[in-house]
Amino acid sequence: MRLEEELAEAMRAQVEGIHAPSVMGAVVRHRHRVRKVRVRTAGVVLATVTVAVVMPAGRQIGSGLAVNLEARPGSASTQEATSTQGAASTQGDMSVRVDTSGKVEVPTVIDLTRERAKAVLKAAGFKAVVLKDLRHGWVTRQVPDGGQLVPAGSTVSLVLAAEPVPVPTVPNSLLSTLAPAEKGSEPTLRDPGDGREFGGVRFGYLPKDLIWTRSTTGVASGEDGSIFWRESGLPSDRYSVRAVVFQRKTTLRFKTAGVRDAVVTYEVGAAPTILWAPRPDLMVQVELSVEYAAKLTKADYATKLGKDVKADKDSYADYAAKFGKAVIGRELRKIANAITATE
Amino acid sequence: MTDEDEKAFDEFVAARSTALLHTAVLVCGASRHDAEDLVQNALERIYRHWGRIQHDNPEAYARKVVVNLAINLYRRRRVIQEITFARPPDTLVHSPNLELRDALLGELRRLPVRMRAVLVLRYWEDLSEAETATLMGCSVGTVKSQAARGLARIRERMGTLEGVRG
Repeated sequence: MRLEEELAEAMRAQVEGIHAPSVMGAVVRHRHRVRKVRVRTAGVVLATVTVAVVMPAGRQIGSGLAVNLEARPGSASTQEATSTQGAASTQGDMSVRVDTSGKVEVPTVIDLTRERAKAVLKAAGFKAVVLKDLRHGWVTRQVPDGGQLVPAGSTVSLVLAAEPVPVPTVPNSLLSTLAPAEKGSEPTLRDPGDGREFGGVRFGYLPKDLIWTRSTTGVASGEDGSIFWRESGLPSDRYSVRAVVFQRKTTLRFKTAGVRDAVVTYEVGAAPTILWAPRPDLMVQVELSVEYAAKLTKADYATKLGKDVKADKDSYADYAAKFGKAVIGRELRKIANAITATE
Repeated sequence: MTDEDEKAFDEFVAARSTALLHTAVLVCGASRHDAEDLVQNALERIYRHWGRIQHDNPEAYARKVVVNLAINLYRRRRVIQEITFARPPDTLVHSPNLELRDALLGELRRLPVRMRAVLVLRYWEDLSEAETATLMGCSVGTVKSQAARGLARIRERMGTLEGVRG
């Protein structure tokens, strides 16, 4: 088979089983409406400011509107919510969907300011709780998500940040809250010296024969720095193990009681990764390259069964499917367990 | 928008969104959730201009928006993309080709994002060189050289990989 065809086949396998959800059209229209509302709201604010300049009484019109939105009790029923929306001209397009079991659709408030988000939620009959906030922030995350059907009067939790915070991609179930980056906090990363110390942590254990390749710092995408190690035989642009140190308070609040609770992702075709927080404000992500992970599994197979991988490929594939995850997980946990904070 | 336009948009979404999702996943290696978000974002832009573009090859326009957004997303998230580039765990069926395929995808992922986009468009979407050039906003010559270079790089690395293994 030609490489082009093999590539197409690999791509096909990669996206196999990924289908667009059937609600895509509805979601797109909803987003479109929310955006229009936002633009219109900005227009209203502008208009109010203009009036205020020309005629001081205009300010009262502006604050009157705000009070109207703010003063709704959290327990407002859906009925009331609808009438509130009629009154509040800025929300004309946000309709509330109620299904037969009395559940109500949660409005999407991502990207709104704290005040607007609370007003929108209250108007729809929800209680809003702000979990994290920086002043003048925007909502970056809400639980439950917009569009979900929940009992009327439920509480919606909001996380706000001064600017959109990149979210490390881990399973949603583990992602409770994400603290926003503190203003003015600069990554304080140093060069690794002996190749073991980096970004305020020390890697007490690394698999044998790894050499320090390079480190990068201060990338704009939220991670604070990466350090790479490679096996001595590899060219210098490749790596076998990589660690990312998140030093700002962008730490996941998952259980950090022990390295057993650390998150390990192991999926075919992706680099196996462990996320581990030695301290609540310090998170380290260690990942093995796909090839290095395969190599570890092969070595384990050879030691345990005393057989060469090439001698019996099917038996190895079987072994890898059954025990690969455990072998790689053990190694990742070993590395994570030996990570200590140096500052 | 008239009801007819709305209906046409719905049909377009039903027919094309899965393919757009696939392109997004392949180009930027986003998680499924991110890819859906990206495609929704693209579709919203299309919806906004639906009246104008619906009779003028909306498919090509949509693909262009998705590829551009995917390239941008990839650039923003370069370092964490590898964990998210994963197949659903239930496809863990062992077959002799699996390892080769994973290695291929691994090499594809290592390419610069625009080069990868060219390969995805040429060999996954099956676009011609001219179509790819229009979409990427570059010359046919660039498409040719990027595709050739991308394939050569994969071939070379797969070669060394085999060498290391053997």
